[in-house]
Amino acid sequence: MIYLDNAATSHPKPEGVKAAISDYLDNVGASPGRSGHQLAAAAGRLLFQTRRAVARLFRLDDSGNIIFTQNATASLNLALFGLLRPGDRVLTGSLEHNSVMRPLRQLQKSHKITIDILPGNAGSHYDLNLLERWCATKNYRLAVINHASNVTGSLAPLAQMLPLFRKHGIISVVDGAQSAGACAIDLQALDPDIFCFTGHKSLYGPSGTGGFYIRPDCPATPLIFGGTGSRSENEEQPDFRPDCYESGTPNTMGLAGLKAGIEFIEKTGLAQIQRHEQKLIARLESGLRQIANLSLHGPFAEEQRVPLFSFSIKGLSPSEIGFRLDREFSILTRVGLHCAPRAHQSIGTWPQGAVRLAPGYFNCLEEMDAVINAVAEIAGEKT
Amino acid sequence: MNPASKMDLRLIFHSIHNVMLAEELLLQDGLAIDMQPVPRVISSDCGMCLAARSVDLPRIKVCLAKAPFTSPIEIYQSPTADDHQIPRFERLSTL
Repeated sequence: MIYLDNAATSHPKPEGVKAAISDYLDNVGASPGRSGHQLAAAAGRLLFQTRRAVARLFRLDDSGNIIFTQNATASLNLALFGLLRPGDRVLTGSLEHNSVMRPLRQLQKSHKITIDILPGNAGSHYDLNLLERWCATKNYRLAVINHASNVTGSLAPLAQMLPLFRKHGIISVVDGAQSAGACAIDLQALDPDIFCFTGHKSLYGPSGTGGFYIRPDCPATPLIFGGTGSRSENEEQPDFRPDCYESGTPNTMGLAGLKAGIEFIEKTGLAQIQRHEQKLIARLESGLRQIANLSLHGPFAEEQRVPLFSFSIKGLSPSEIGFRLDREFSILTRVGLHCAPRAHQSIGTWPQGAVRLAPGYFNCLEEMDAVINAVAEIAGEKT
Repeated sequence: MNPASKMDLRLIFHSIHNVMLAEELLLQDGLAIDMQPVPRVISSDCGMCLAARSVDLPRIKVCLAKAPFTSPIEIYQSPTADDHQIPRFERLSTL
């Protein structure tokens, strides 16, 4: 079996992830911050160390501004519902996932917000002059941008975009679901107001883990209120981080796995992981380019992408291609619209969508050759 | 027991994140601390606090000033407490 659906969730996980989850279940098991016994303390340390690991990965000194949620979608919902007010104007890009578009559409109905969508193409080639003009004239309260497209793998030029937002007093929210762990991210230097991540993709953690970084002065109100283990005498939500955003018992078991996933990245080296994954993408790209009637959707300069892209074959539906890859070749891909209909509209693959290939660190070049041969056969170039 | 060795201070952080941050910093500085449940006479918080020695208080303050704590740190002292007996506490200061 060749698993190329790592952009949905990474598989397999490093051995240490399974071991860490098992160790939590066997030897810790308790809830952090809720009790005064030694296992609660061990759980609290585990959570603290996981927060530290996330901060290290994003080159942040202070882990107190790392908040855990169950995934990037929950983080984005908190950012958008916690910051936008009735009548606000919002800027977003045309490569967004529905984890951004659906909360924005809901806020359009409930809060009468106005949404402007900056046009982008398969290479995230946003027109920065247009962006500057819009930022200067449209009185945005907030901009939310997908760092790496889950359809094309293209990286948005955050280093150019975020200073523009800051210059014009616009709150910046970044969807880092596909980029966290897939490329080096220096949040100290980029300085977004909120950066959302998920744990189960390129951070190698289990599903049900994720979170966000929030700038110390960012005024987002919590979405979920309740017990935090702190200020228990008070029926009001605590106002300090991370507690104010983390009501309810956390997914400590999952976060133990996330910590181990990040430690795997640190031990292996992010640069080494990137080199290997980019080699896989380059091999796929060069092989698939030889197939007639096949279109590739993605940027192919290494510095502009994370390890995924999509393709289409003229005359074949993506679902048919994906089904045949699975049944006949045991090659697992993701087909369709990838929860990002506007992104597909932007790259011209609406409404059918495309076939997405997302190799991971545990794939090898020989597998990429097998994928190229299988796609060629499905495209009718081999029998 | 030598009075200087008594764990007569309680450092209250309210957030478990800050308890863990302080534990790490104080242990790195070689200070004697013990993580304990928050005494009910101080707070009804469900979580943990750090017990420490009042003779170490100046060093503790310097050490904790190094890190960005997200909630105030309250320091209490018990004139009679040892490691296991916590009859009463007086609030000394808030950092």
